[in-house]
Amino acid sequence: MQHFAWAILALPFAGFIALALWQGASERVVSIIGAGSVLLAFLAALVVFAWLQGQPDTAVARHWTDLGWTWAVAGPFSLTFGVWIDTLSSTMTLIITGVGFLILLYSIGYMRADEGFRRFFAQMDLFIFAMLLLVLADNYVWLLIGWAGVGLTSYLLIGFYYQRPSAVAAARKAFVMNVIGDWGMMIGIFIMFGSLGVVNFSGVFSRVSTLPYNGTVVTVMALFLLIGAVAKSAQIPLYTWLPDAMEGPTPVSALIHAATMVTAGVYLIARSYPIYQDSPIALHVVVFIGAAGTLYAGTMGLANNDIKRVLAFSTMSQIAYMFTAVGVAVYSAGIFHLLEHAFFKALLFMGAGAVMHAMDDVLDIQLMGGLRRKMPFTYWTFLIGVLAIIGFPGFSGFFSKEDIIGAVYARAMAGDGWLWLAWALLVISAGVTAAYMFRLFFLVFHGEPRDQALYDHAHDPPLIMQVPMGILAVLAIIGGWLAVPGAYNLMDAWLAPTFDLFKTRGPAIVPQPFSLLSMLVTLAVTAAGFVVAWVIYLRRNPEPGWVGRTFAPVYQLFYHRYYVDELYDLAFVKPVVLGGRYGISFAERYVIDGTVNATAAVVGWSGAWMRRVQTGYVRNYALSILFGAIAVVAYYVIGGR
Amino acid sequence: MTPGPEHFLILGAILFTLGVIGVLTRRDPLIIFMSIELMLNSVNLTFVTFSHYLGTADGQVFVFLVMTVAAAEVVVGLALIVSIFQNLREMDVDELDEMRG
Repeated sequence: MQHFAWAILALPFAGFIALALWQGASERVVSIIGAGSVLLAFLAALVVFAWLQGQPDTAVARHWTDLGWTWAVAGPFSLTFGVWIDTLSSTMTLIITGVGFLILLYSIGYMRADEGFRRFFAQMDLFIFAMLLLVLADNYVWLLIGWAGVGLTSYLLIGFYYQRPSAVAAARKAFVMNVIGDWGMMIGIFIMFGSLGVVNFSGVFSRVSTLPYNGTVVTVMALFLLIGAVAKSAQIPLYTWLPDAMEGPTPVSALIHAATMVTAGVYLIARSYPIYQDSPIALHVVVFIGAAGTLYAGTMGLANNDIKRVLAFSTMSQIAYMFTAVGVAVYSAGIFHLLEHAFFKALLFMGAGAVMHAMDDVLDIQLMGGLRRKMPFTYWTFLIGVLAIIGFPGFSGFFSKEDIIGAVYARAMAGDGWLWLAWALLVISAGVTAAYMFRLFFLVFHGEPRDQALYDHAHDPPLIMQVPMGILAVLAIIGGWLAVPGAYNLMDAWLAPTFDLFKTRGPAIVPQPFSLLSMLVTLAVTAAGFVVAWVIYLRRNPEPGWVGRTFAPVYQLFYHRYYVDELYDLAFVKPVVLGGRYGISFAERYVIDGTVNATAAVVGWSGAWMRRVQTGYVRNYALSILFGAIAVVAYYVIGGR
Repeated sequence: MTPGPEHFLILGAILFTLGVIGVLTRRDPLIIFMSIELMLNSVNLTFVTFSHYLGTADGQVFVFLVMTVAAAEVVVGLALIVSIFQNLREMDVDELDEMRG
């Protein structure tokens, strides 16, 4: 069992090493190593999962830490490297390796004949290793190392097409934003070390209750960790990198920027629940970052014409739902949505990739249309994904989203008045989700082709890409039945031991009572969103640009993403550039160059003066030696002792 | 009148001064060289004088050291002078101002 836990980590890393070193491996070999190592890791994760299932259903029995080795010791402080197995990390490893394997399988078809084939698989394996390190680490330092590792691989893979300047710029943007998050997290860990003296999970979580409840220290610690979570999960205000990250290959978007890495922030908050539980203020911040993000991202998705960017905004919006869930301390609902989201969002990205393949890498949905007839398989799987994400009853997103909205409703009913606002935002966002997803769907698959040449050679993807799409489509339908609101909740039962291990003082961590009213309102709003999309984009089948002209002010605001990129440019980039210019024109030219030049001038001038002493006549030198000797003698004879 | 230590010291000082004047005023490297020898030996005389009157051997030991060094110096110095003469065909130190800044 112990060996299997370590194998989860070791296998993708071994795959990465093999692929990185084996120059000239054929595509077949690369595919087998790249996807095979992750498949084996998935099997190892299944063994660990089965072992946990076999344990008694108590918090202590379903948690197990294997100490690998002591990494660093400094006085009473020691930093270990070990794996932390509980139901939460087991769930995460299954998602990462399982969905990761399906996406790698898809990549074999998608990346075929790309000259960077081996590089792609090596970096994907490295990413999966780093992500597993993130979820399996037993202390915050190794979590941060995995955290930075996924940031690095995300940077590498966004900039995969490094010949394209826009990809390089997007990679850099993602990296900078993520480093801001890493910085925040690092400060959080420093505060943790300063106030508690430990950084390993068991130490931190058992000692955090010694800090004052809802006090400054625990709140500041939680908020700094939240900066990390917000940057990694592309939430307000550090989200602008995510749409640009779509410059990477589509499987990268599916794996890193939809299914796994961007959900790491949710994992971090769920993992750190004893800290957040002790700070209701921080929890409320999480709720409102989440609730505002759902609607904010959704509206931006309404007015974007890039098939992958619409999906990126929907990712941001769905992760915002997860943030809201963990913010109201119903962690299992957040993780449940994370799981379902991994299924349906990976499926949607695969569909988008298939469309891109068919359309000659065109991303603009205004040039698509009518693809239903040319790509029936993609059409049906994409439809399943869309139904899952909007929460159509019976599909996975319905159950998980209902869990979240219901939890917020129940907490609001229980007296937390601010949460009514969050609930309203979530419900409206559900409608917006339906509107932008069906807008995308209708524009791509329905209506008449808008570009006949592209349409004519469109076709369904090859079998190796269809298989993972089919598997994920099935999961996107049945995955939700793990928990049926009001009936049973296997997901919460499974995760409960994890959230029961440490005693906390905050709000209760239990699934909230089911509310039929909340569900009906959500469904009604969702239906309204669908009708809007249907009326505008299917029934009228408008020529592209009609909506933009008719609702110009609002559309422009959404289309330009609330001008936040421009705002950041004005607030952060411009000052740095201006500062740099000032630095060159004044500081560099006058202060630094001036100092250097002045030093040289003084040396030159004194040299010019001093060279007169060097007459070249021996007797002058002898005379000065004589004077020197006389001076020394005189000093001892007359003056000193 | 028997000569006392002051006579030897005065003689040493006079010889040393003559050596210094020689070094500073003459332009023939050989003469300069001889003047240096004169200075060294005047110091030797002073050493021996003190050694004798203080009843210790320290000064005499120093004299041997100075003589050894002087012998080595003569070898190097004369070699330099010969070499300079071969190159320049003249014996005037004022012409040797290659090091002028």
